Amino acid sequence: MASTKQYAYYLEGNQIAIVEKDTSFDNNVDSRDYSPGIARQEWKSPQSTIVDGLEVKYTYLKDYRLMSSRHIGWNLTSTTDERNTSVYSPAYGEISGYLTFFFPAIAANNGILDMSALNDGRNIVVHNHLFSGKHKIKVASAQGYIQTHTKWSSGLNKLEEDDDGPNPVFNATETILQSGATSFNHGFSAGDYIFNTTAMGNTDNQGLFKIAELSSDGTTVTVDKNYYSDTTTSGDLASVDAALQGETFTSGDLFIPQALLSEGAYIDISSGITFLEDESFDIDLPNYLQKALVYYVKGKLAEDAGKLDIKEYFMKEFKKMIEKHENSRISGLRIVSVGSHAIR
Amino acid sequence: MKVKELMERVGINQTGRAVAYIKDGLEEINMLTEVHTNLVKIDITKDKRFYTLSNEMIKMMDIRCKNHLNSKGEYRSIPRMLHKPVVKDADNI
Repeated sequence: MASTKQYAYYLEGNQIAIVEKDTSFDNNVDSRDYSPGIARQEWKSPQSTIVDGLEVKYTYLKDYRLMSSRHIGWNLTSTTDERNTSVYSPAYGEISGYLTFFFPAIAANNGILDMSALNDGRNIVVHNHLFSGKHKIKVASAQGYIQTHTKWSSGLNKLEEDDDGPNPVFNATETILQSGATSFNHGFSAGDYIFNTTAMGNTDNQGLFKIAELSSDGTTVTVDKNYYSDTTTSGDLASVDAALQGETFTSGDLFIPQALLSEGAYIDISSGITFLEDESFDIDLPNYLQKALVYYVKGKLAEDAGKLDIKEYFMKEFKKMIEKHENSRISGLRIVSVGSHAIR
Repeated sequence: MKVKELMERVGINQTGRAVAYIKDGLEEINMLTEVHTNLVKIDITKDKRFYTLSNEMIKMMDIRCKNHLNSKGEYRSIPRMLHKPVVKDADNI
């Protein structure tokens, strides 16, 4: 059985800081934290890793409608996957400053999934805890990624060959090497993930890998695990020992961006999604709130025209209707439950 | 209600402008009341204090953690700190 924990949060910019009360007893008598009384007052960064440990509930702007039942899958190209309206996107990152989703193969050491069946410019709806919402495809690549028009300065790293150096080499010892390029592996750490989007001679050398080791001379990256999409799950990845094939890359620039994992995330790619872009869109609001929205738009138009008294009138009506809508959902007696911090 | 009907009620014939104000209005409505809600789960990582919030978030309604004040695997709401803790996060991650 899991042990009881105590968390709290505070906000810092667009980030939420999670802290946990450290209840471990410090037995070092020389420590300032010696004694249970002190240690128990300390809030620290989370003391252990908890999968799906944090739940955030929020409101968002829904400016799209999915016009068919959703069917989530992995592939786009196979005939058995024709029905897919959505695809799992278990990894994401950045290419050239744009948010990009990566699609590892559905078999171990088998590279990537071909996403070129999607046309560039198509609107998609992403369900990923950071980038949920509407995005537009910039490049749908046969090399296993969808690059969007969404700009993102992620600060993530990339492996890129030095044009002045010798050709990069993939070795069966699970190393990617560019001799003499002393900053080839800089910026990475062991445990980071990389997604090779470059077209290689061996498909095994493409796809999602975890870095095991970085050489101190900066020229070599050693990977240990290859990750692939596990079709028996709902969007999770599985891993096996990487099996790189010996290959010297000669046909262009080797480019391998860093990837972040987002298992369970998916993207609606159906052409049946409608977006709030033109007059035919059916606004997704309860009927009563649609009337409130009319007041809001009237108010904004009055504001544009400089008629501030009229604007104030419409905004007052807008807020009044929302309040009435809220109150209409409350009926009967209310029950007060005991608070989570109450004495029991 | 379609956008077209709303435009007729308001008396505007500029679609782009109407769509922009409708989006503003939808945001304002979601700020004042909760119409469209989403629930995301994020892994808590040892020694990682900061977690980026979704860009689409308009109003945060609740934050819950697994096993907070229980050992049954339940998610319970966690309190917001009035002051930042004394023990800072060394690597700011």
